[in-house]
Amino acid sequence: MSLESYRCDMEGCSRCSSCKWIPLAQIRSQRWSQVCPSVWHNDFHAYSGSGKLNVALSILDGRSDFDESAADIFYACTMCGGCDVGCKVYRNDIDLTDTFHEARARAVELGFARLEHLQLVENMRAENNVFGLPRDERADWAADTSLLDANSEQVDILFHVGCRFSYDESQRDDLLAAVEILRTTGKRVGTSGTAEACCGQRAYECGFDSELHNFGDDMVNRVRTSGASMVAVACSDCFGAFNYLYPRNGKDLGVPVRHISEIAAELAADGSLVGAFSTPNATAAARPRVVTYHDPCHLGRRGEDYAGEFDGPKIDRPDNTRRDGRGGRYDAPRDVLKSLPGVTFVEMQRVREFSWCCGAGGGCAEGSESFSIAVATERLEEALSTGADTLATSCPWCVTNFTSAREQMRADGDHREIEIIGISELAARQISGEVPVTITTTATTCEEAAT
Amino acid sequence: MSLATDLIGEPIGADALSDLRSAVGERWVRTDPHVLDSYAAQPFHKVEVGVWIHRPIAVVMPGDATEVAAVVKACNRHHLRFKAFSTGWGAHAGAGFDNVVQIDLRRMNRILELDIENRTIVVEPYVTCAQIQAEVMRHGLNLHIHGAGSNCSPLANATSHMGMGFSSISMGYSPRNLMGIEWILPTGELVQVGSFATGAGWVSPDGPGPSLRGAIRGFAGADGGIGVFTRVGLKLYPWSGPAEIEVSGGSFRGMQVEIPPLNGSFMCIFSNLEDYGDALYDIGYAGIGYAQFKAATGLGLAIGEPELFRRIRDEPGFREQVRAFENQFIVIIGGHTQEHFDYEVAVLGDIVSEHNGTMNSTDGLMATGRGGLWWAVIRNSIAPGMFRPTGNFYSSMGGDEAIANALRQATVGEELKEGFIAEGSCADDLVDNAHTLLYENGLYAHTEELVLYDHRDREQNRKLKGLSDTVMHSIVERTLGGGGFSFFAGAYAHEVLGPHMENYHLWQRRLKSALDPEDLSDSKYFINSEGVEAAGHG
Amino acid sequence: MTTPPIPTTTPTDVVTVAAGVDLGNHIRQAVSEGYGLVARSSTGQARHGRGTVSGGARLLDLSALRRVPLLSARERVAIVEAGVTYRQLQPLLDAEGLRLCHPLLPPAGKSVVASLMDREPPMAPRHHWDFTDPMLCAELWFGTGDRFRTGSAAGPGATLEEQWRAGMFQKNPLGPAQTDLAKLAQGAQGSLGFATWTSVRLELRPEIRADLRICCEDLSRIAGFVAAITRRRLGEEILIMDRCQLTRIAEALGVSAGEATHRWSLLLTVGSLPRRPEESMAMQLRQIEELAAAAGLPLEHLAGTADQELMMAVTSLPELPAKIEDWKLAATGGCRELAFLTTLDRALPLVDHVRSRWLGLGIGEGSIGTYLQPLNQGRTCHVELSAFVAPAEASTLDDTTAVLVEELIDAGAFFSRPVGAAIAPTFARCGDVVRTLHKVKAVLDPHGVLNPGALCFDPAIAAAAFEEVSSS
Repeated sequence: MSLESYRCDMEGCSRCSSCKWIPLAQIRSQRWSQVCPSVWHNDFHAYSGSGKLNVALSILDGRSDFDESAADIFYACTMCGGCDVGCKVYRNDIDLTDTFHEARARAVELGFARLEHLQLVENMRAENNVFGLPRDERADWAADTSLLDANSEQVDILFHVGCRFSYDESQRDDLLAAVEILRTTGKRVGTSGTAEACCGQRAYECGFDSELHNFGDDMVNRVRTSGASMVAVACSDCFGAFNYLYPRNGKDLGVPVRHISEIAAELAADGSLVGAFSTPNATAAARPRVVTYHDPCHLGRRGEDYAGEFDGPKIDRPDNTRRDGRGGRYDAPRDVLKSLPGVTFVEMQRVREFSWCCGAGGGCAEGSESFSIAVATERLEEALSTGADTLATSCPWCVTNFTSAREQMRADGDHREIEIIGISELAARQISGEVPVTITTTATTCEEAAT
Repeated sequence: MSLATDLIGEPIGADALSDLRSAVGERWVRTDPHVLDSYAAQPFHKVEVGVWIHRPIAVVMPGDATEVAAVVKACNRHHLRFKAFSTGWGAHAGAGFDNVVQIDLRRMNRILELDIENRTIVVEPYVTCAQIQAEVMRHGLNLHIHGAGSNCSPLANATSHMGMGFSSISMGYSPRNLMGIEWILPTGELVQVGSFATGAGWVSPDGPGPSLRGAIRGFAGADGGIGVFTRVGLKLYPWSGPAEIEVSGGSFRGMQVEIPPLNGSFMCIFSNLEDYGDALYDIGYAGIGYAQFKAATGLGLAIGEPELFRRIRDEPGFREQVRAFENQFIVIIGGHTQEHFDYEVAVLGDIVSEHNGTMNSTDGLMATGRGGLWWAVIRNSIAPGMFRPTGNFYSSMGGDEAIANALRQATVGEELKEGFIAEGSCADDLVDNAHTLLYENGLYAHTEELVLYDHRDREQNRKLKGLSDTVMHSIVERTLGGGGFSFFAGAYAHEVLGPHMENYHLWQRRLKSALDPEDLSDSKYFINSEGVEAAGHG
Repeated sequence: MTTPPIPTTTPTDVVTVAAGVDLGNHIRQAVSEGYGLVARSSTGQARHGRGTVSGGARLLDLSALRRVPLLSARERVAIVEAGVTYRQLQPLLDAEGLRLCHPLLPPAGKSVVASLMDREPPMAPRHHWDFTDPMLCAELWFGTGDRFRTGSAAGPGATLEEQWRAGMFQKNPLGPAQTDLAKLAQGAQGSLGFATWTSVRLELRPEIRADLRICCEDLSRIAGFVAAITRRRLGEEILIMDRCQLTRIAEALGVSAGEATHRWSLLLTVGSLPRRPEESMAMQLRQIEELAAAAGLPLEHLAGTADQELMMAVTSLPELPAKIEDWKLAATGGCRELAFLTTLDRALPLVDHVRSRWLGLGIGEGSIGTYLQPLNQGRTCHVELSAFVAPAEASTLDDTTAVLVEELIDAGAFFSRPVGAAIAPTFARCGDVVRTLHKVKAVLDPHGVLNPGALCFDPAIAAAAFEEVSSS
């Protein structure tokens, strides 16, 4: 694909601004009615989904140059896909985020890539992870887990851990809880250890397509080697990459990809999730919590199953071959949370396919930190407005960004309390009576490790 | 025909830029071409070919009325035209000329007052209908949402555009729902129109003495040609549903909603236009209905069931069968009590039966799913769907008068559209797209003739102006209610219509000249001041 | 700033206009000869002295324009010429099963068009969708001598007959196009255009009627109840009066004053809807009864009681006793009014303020009447205080009115239709409006011949208002 191939999409935008709002039928208040972090933060229309189409068309039509200023607009976006959902309530012939991706790819070609993004890619190339941390430390976390080595042993489930979980000690409990959930399936679970590499998604979103292709080929090989009948992930970015981006880019893993929340939900449904974390003081000691759930973009609207390309004019494209977000994984994590002892579940207003983004995606956590934190803070405000004391989610990137935002709020004198926690860890805590899966001391984030 | 690189004027001068920055702060002024072009892509309701309108010379984003006034005064000092918009949908929202400062009112997004007892709300320009509705439903209230939909600004609609909507039968026409207007004149002076001018709150939009509402707008608004509106009071109406509506299964197609008690939605189908019209009259007399509109058969299918629509359109047998349903409308009933609801449903049933029609609940109708159509109408989340079938549409006629004239418009509209479809000026939508709705207990009615087209199809796009002109001339020649949407074609429409309508254009121009002597409030969709050369009419 | 000149030559005569079409010539003649014009459509004594020749100008008497060119039950619309009075129109409407929502007991000679052009408050808030109602379109004459038909009466269709043939019945009150000259002329007291006819929206006359009353000391409870019923558009006429107002009306009309034991009486009529009339009455009455019970208010059904006669008299257009043209002037031959807008829940302090000031001036308790009229489907309240005083006493009030109006404006009253001493203080608060109206005046009446000096077009009032703008 190319930017030019989306000209019809760009010209088709009527500027109805559905890209700025959660779907009109879903709006329940003025406060929580916006869906696009980019225009929310930057205000001028150019930053909205529609506006970015306009900017791209301006460039294609020779009315303006693709310069630093244009790149700024395309990069001031978390690539969350919220605009796409709003648009596709009505339109079958416009693909916003795909257009933005092509614009970013063009920015990379023309040398307007962000320095932080170049660093990220360099990290990936050098160490197979986005942080640039040593590749041979990637599996250190798993030293005591006795997971199978999928490079040398046949497994049923290949657990792709992802960069964030592999290196971020602060999220170790969530990761280990995910491992316990996987074990509870009774299947042979293994990882690729230090051979595991980044999924490539974050580079791809910054406009570096070739990284996705390169890392994708590696992943395909690892899956084949493992003999797995399923790839499991606990990271939503990885899920979105494997479930949508890979097949769209011709990378066939050959097996289904499942997120840990889906597996946990099945276990919860048949009653066996409790077994993963039961301890002598289980259940009775479950801490009462009011929990709300944040839908990660790449498990939700950006994580839909790839349905192929429609061969014909887009105006005639049927609903089921477009990416409208409704096929994301929304029920499974909620089913898990609702099954947990002590949990009172409450919803925010912006949920499921029209969820507000955590702010970490699209290279913003790396390249536009203040914007990224502002977006996360907005989500924390929404979570707090529900009366929740716990914000659960299914993605380590979201957890990291929310945690940073909460720290910023505290630094600014706002001490309202809300615990931010991954869904696996929350399951472990509630079922086991708050006993952590493992005891970690001096937890270090990967950002800290990398500096 | 304009090229993509036309309509780009000279950059703004340093002094003017400095003045604008002083008015609103540096952060809120943008002149980079990419940002400017995002305000110049407006293919909707644009009779000229292509996507681009004039690129504004700058975009400013004031935070309050004082800043708006400062911007307008700066424009006056530097002799720059200006054009304000709120939610900004359509060519009429953007620059009609070179050297226009676009005033984006997005930062003015506050709900300022809500008087529940007296059913009035005061809002700034960038508050949308959906937001207000969501906020007031929890108080048992609702607002009239105009046809463009709940993604739009009710302030912009009520002060500056048209104003019909599904709820017009019980909530009227947008400008008639005003309770006061804060107005920045084209010269930059702030005028408070209505009771709040003397500190009495939002109890009347008129007076003392004459109502300046009359200088602000008529049946249509000035679309930015008579200054900027920064605050309005709006009427609210009763709502008998719950504080929030649970929506599942989708947000439009497939939308599942449990229609709450005291509410219902009914499709009434008649075998001929005469019965259809008589039933509309009777509904008006009966004083029933919360919302009412004709769900144009072809358009409804094209929006809700596009694949099915294409099959029907291309199959002569299907096509005729579906067209047999064209004499239908939908009535939404909202009761204050169960007895009231039952009464209105029974009366509707009586009327439909007397006119040999059939009446069925729309619950589960088409792909909108259970209750979906009802909620789509109440929220008016339908309008952007008009772009699904072909990528664009154009609205014409719409001069509102007695039901008898609305039916005449519908009949003439079909006749004209047969020709448009045959010559390829618009898409085949089964011809029937005239959607009639009633105002204020049916005293008068609205019909607009919609055509579906794709501006990306340049050949079709080129024919749009001819289509628009043909309808405009038909309005005059066949006495079709009034100018309606003709002003979308640009100010030259007045020269066609005015001589047949009391020479209103001369008075409109004189008022414009009196209030905007330098012709700086972008008049492309209004009228140029006396003595000022008309320009930009492409 | 362009302010039209005030003509200096001042013939003081009266010309009866025989046909609307003649108006253009009269205006052009005034322009050419440089004198002012005042139009009057009603007959009889004017309550506020408007329509009389003041300061010297030709009075155009439009009361001879008495045709009703259109009356359609199917379309629920009529066109009435300027001289048609409410009482003349009523029998025509009765014959068609129609009615026109009208103000409280208009004087015998009150022109429908004059009343509508002055935005007089109709009694049925249910049918009051906007402040211009029930007026729809109008035939106006501007200070240039040009005729202008507003709303959909503008066309297309060069004549009314041509429009009727095409199914247009002068029903759309807005425009034409992108300005609304009728709204500018309405409320302008003839200073921005004269009207020779207007079309009016009509309502179907209910088959069944119920007369209800609530008497109560506490206006706030009545306000809550009125808000509840008007929210549901229940009731036809809804009005609130105090004891004095009711007594004065009863005396003037020669009917029993009834048992007004409380300060406030809410008078409420309920009409059946055209379909299933009995069922519709029962449904409406049940809701009203439930809402009254919820508010703890005693709802009286007046059917068959002596009080019903008064109720009928107040809410309809009764034949006035011989020699009584205006009930307000019946007893003493004089009356002074203060009328303004607010909301019903904010009305009481304003009412009490006026009463206290007037009582302080020696006006008797029994001479101060209060009338509260919910408008605009209940969102707004017209407040009208009347001092029923002899003409000689009236001047005492006049001397203090300007100050009282100032106080009322400070307290939140809106004088949307200011007359007399209320004009100056009202416009002094909105110089921005005055300045804009002067620009409008320069367009519609460039020679300043239409009712010279009216409202804010009085040079002294304009000067004060402009000073307000420049100092703010």
